[in-house]
Amino acid sequence: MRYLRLLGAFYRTSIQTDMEYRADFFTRIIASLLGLLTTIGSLSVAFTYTTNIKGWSFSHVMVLLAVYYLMDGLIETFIAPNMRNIMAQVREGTLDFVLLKPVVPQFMATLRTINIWRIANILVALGLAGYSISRLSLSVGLSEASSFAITLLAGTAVVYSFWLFLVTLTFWFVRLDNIEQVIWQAFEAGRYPIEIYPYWLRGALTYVIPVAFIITVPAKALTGQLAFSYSFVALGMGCLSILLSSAFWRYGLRFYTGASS
Amino acid sequence: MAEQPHVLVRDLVKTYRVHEREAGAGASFRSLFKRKYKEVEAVKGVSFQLMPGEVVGFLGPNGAGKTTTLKMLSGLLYPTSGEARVLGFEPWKREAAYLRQLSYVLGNRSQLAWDIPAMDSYLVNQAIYEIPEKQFRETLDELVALLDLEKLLKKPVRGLSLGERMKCELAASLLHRPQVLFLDEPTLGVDVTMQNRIRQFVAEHNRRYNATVLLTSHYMADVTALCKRVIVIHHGKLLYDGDLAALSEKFAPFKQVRLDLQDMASAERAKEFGEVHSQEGTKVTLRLPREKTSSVVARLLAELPVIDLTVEDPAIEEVIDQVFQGVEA
Repeated sequence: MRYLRLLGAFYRTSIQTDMEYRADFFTRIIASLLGLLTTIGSLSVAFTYTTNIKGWSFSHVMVLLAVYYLMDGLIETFIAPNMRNIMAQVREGTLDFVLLKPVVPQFMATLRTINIWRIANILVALGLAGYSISRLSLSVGLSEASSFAITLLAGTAVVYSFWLFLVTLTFWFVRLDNIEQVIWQAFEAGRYPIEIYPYWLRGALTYVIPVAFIITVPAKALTGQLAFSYSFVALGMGCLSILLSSAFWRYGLRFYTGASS
Repeated sequence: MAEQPHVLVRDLVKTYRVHEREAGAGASFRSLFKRKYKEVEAVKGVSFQLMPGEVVGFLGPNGAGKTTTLKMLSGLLYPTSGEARVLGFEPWKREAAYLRQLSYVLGNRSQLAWDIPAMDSYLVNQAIYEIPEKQFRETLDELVALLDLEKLLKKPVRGLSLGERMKCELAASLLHRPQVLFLDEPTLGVDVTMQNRIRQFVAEHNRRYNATVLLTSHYMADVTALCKRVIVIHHGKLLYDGDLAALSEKFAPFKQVRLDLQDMASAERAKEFGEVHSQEGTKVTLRLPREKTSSVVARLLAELPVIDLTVEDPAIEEVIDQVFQGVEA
């Protein structure tokens, strides 16, 4: 309860900050629409020669794309700004102020701000998802919707954990500016069905950097191609990744304060 | 019943492991794989106590171990060995109950969010420290009046001057009425008027809430204005702990005699009476051993055409300088 109130205070202040940059909202909408259109354009070229790629029809791929943009929006709104902050704070020594507060440091460091205008990406993605689903004339029932919500949440948790894990490395190495590059490069691979990649890459994208897990799985859930029970497996994986990355973060903090040497 | 000390430090030691690297590309490359480490002792067994409500100056040259000590006391660093208790807590456990009663202000860093008005950061702090609305308003009103913040709170922090920002920073650190306050160079880079303001303010906070304050500063005026007692460390070791006034007696056992004489000839003669500190024409300042001061002054007055004569303690900066030089020698 106390932490919910805190989260409210955090988000309120960061939304107030963003209100000064209202124009950002519209540039974001335009940017994500443009990105979307070019991707759909090149996909539709591919689909003029075939009606399905490794079992994925055009409309199914559009759903996947929608989930990709949705995840992108969630990351940019809730996760990325905080992770970038932590890296800057470690470099500048202002992480000390987080540690001085009577609050769980991970909570304050990773949930301190949101980038509200990135909601634009989320809105565009939801629009595309609705459109593609109507094209497929699928009926999304309660079971699909809840399975989608659960797998999406689990996917977000995995991204959060993966990023937190990499950010924690800055306690030892201080400068790791290329972390974001690694994350986004891998993430981009997720905008296409995992099945189109060669076998070895598919393995890497499923287990090493679980892009397949965070995008393909929710997309399958939304289109009813996923057994409902699997969403609990996904939830379990999400929780596990949070537990592991939090443990690593706490270990890193001990190093930061010199408690481990 | 005797009062318990607010801050208790015993044999505190902090050794850093520093990555050592020689210059040159080859060496940099080798260090990627095999790192050499050097142990640096930043704090070598420091002990002291602060009683509730004390305001104590924590002095030492750069690299003496002041900030390392303060960081250990505020739970940001884990000591290599030794003990510390602040308000009965072991600081590096960082218990919420402890952090709620503490503030650590760093003059060169800011906890305020850059793009939003300070007031919004205060509201976040209110949530973090769970300050009840009534108490929050009261404290805020006090702080606004004392620091003259009225016009500053609504502006984004990035638009404030350095001094204004420091005032907002101090207010942010005091909203939760901390019992223990560590101030690390709070007046750094701030103009003289603002320095005065900040000093008065710290004194007022101490008086009002009986808060214990440990202050480091490069401006001796901060220390002389606020602290009766000083702790001096150098190379990580405690050099002095006691009255600020007694510091000069111990480390600078001399007085300064300022003379204004009628002519240059007598100015030259005056210089034979003691060590010359400085001279400007017929104005001569001599440095005399404490115990001889009165007899020499009597002789000066008897033998020379003196227009004016004053006896004073050396400036505190000089005493401190003397302390550190004494240790180097």
